[in-house]
Amino acid sequence: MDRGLNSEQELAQLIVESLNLDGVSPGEIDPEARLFGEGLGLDSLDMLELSMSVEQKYSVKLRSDDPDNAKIFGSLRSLSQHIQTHRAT
Amino acid sequence: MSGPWRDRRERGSNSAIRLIIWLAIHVGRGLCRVLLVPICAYFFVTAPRSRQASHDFLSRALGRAATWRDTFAHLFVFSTTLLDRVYLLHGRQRELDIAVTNEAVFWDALAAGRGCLLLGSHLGSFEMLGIVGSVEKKLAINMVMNVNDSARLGALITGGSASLPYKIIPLGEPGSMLRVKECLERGEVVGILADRIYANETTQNLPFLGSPARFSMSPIRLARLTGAPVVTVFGLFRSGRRYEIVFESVANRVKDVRATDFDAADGAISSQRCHAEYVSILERHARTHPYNWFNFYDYWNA
Repeated sequence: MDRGLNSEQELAQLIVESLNLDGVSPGEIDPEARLFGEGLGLDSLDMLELSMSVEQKYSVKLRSDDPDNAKIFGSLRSLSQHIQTHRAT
Repeated sequence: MSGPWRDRRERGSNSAIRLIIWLAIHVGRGLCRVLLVPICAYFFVTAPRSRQASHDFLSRALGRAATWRDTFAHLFVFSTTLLDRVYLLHGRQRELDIAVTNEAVFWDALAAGRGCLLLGSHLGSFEMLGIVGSVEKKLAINMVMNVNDSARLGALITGGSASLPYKIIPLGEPGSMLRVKECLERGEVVGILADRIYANETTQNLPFLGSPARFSMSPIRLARLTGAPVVTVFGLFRSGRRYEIVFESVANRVKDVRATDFDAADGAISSQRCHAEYVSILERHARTHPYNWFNFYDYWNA
């Protein structure tokens, strides 16, 4: 498994744990599916909670005024790529 | 997304609102209120479902069978607040006599430096909050709103010439609640109308005027996540040109408090308790000022 897939799995785990998604296993989340609204069905309050968990775990701060938000929050894959690009190494 | 109340409000209301706005500005408040009588009579006759909802609500709140006069008064108060919204948004609050009760609660909450989450409702007119904001010019007020409703009505009322006394945080974007948190972190005020269910969020049944009604858990969850103090606010129409803005403190902080529902160390209460307190404050004011209830749909079965 390459590094991208690993970090996607780790983020999927974080999503399921921080949002208490009952009956969803991290491996089931389609990395290309939309997180917000249709797809995984998260609302903006879930996005806030997820952002807080992401900040805590990766020290990557997500901002509401980021013009790329539609893309960043678009899917597990895009969020994971954003985190990997911006996390402190 | 369409709720029963949303369909109702769309229905033919644009032209009525435009008419009220034009009259408010050109004719004056006294005569306008006289003209509201036939307008209300029109809606009384042509909106049977709203009439039924009003009757059901008032019978619960008044503790007796509501009469057609009660329902007519209900519509009249609603249209009066719409009329007065025009004056407020055009900076003509001198038309009104507005008293503020418990304002210290609000400023005390803000003084903690964690912003303030103001839980409002459709009991009374939230537009009144602009008054409190304008007293202290430095105060930044943000309103979480369903942008379809608010933008439509706001554009109608201001006609592009006046500006809203608050910033709107539109619901329905991934970053909506992230923005709320950022506002609170800057020490700003964020208002939410917490008595309606906007999407498929988690809800809880709580006793309200005699039987359980569904209330969204989202505002309380937001309070818990942000750690902001929670205050309720109601902008109530009293009579004539009198309004009263009432603040009440709900929680210094909401967090996961086990067993006791209360943590004396930082005045924190649990989500469950915070939710129950909001609904009980709402219920108390709804009983005292029933004609200010502006949810004209079957609230218990929505």
